Amino acid sequence: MRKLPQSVLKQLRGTLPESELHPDSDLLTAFVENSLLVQERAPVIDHLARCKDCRDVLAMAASAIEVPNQTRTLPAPRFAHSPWFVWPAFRWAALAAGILIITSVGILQYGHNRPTRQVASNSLPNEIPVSSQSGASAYPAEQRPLQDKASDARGKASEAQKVPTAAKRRDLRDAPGSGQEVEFERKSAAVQSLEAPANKRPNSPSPGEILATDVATAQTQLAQNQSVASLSGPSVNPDIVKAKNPVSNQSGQSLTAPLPQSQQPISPSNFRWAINGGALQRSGDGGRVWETVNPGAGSATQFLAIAVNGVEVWAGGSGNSLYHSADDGAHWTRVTPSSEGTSMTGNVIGIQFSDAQHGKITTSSSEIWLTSDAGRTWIKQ
Amino acid sequence: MSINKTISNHVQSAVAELLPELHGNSNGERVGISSEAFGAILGEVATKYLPGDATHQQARTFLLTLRVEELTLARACAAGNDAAWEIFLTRYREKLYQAALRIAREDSSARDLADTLYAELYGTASRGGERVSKLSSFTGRGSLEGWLRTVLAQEFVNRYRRTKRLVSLDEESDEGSQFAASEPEAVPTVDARLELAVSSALAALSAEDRTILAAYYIDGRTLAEIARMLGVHESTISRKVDKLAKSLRKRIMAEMVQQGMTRRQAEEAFEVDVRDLQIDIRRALTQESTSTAFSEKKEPVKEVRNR
Repeated sequence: MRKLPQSVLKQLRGTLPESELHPDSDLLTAFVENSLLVQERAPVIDHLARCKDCRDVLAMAASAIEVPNQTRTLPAPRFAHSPWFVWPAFRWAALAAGILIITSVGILQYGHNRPTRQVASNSLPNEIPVSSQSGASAYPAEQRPLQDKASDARGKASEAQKVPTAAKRRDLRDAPGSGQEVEFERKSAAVQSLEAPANKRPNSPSPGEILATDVATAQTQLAQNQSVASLSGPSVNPDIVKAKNPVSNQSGQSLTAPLPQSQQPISPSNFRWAINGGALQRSGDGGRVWETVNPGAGSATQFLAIAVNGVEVWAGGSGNSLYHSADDGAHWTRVTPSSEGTSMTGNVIGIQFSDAQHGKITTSSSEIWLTSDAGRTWIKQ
Repeated sequence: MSINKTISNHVQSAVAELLPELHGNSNGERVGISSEAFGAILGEVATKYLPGDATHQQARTFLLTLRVEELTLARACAAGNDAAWEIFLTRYREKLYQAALRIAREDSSARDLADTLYAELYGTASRGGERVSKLSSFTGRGSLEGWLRTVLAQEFVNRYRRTKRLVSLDEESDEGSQFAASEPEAVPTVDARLELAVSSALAALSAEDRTILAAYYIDGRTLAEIARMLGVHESTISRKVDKLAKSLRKRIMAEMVQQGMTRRQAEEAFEVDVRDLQIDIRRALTQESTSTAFSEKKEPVKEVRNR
């Protein structure tokens, strides 16, 4: 890493006015756990930039986080759940994806740049945005039944693998619930990524306020938030997670094809997902432009947790709200886990899905709900 | 807890609206926190963090983000409820020692650190002779476990700084006077124009970027540590640091040229600067600020009040 000149270091060291108070333990904790309100985050990070003590506290507190054993059994990487700084990374990722499709030369480069993504995905082609063919048409999202669209997307995924010509990235311009058309932009990924303005991120959430998931992360783990959230509960029994489940999942996708492993392939998502100050957001262009998604249509849910597994999206938050989308956020179902007459209470503060079927919900009331059939039935732990 | 502000009507109405639900979620009855008592806690917490003019909706959203179950548990412990303590110890005792070990990295000081915190959690005698538990300051903004880690880390930083101050005082008495005399107060090595250029280049960075640079270059944190602090991937931080350092240099040069220096002069100013790096770091390391960072008496909240 390059050196910084003395004058820079001197000023970087900064000075803290005697009168300035440090953020209290609660705020620092909430900062690490990403649960500050949007407007609270800026003053804290501004303080951190100037206060070595608080940075030390934060670093030590973060280093003391216990890594739950269960994460080691899953082939999930330690997962970058914030796109604060990712725009350079994702421009290159997009470029690399383009090259990958056009020539196989790109494979090596891509793997070099983003090793964790490779580990995360089931197979390499799944990383390619499902966009090759869909780029050609613009159809109303509303008119398509859930299953059609989902299986459609799957078909395209396989086509994308077979026809490695021009990759197109798609941009979703309108919120899915608005009834407007979904438009796709026809441009090769390579061209688009080169055109992308380096520093312009017009509607993107301000850096540092986001909890995002990586599109291509087949195994989704919400790193800190989740592990912290589930502190009181026993870990998911690996047997349950690994158990084969022949039942087709909720969306009716043709996922029941006999597969050797329990992890049935899920179409890769076209979006990056994030929770930004309680709002659920997604970005179709690697994090430059973000749109707010409102699964509950009208109800003001404060979103606190999200899990993305390809096009399978689970999001939850205040007032025991839990939503599931099997089609990348186009359609949502509200899910209320219940078993033997009791329903889930509290705010959803943690969601973990090891695959499309097996998930774990943690609530602020310290309840843990497990499903092994994509949310159709639940077990309260 | 000294809350001077009165609870606003909006906060009151939001608390009233959500109280049945939140009190139910909090399992308050189990640890002897009645609905009224819990309402008072919610009002206090919301008033502490929300701006005075927060709307009903804002107060509502805020309340819904609180970890109510852990909040009641902590407050019930602070109030001396035995059932609450039993739950607390079952859940956190081992975790607390583990976290202390990760922070102190050495068994005996970890034990010491954790024991000190336990004493504070049980309650230290206050002015009125009443025991005040540190848990009474927990507000449920983050998890209780995370809060315990933060408090441990704060205690550790405070200790570490005290020790360091003692050591540096010792050094000073041994060889310090001589060393100090050889060092003139104002070192005219840094061109004023360079300093200005640096200021404006740093000011152009976001607070996040400055935090990353400071954590890396000033605190000597590893990329992995910074990544954990900020909840991002290590490779992201690695790219970011390199990119920031590069662009910072470019920007400073441009600033100096803009101030009328020639390119060559600017380069020279930089070179002198880098040569002095070693001296400056040594000086900087020996003069740490003397204020205690996290004194127990402080109620360090108001700075991060919402805007």
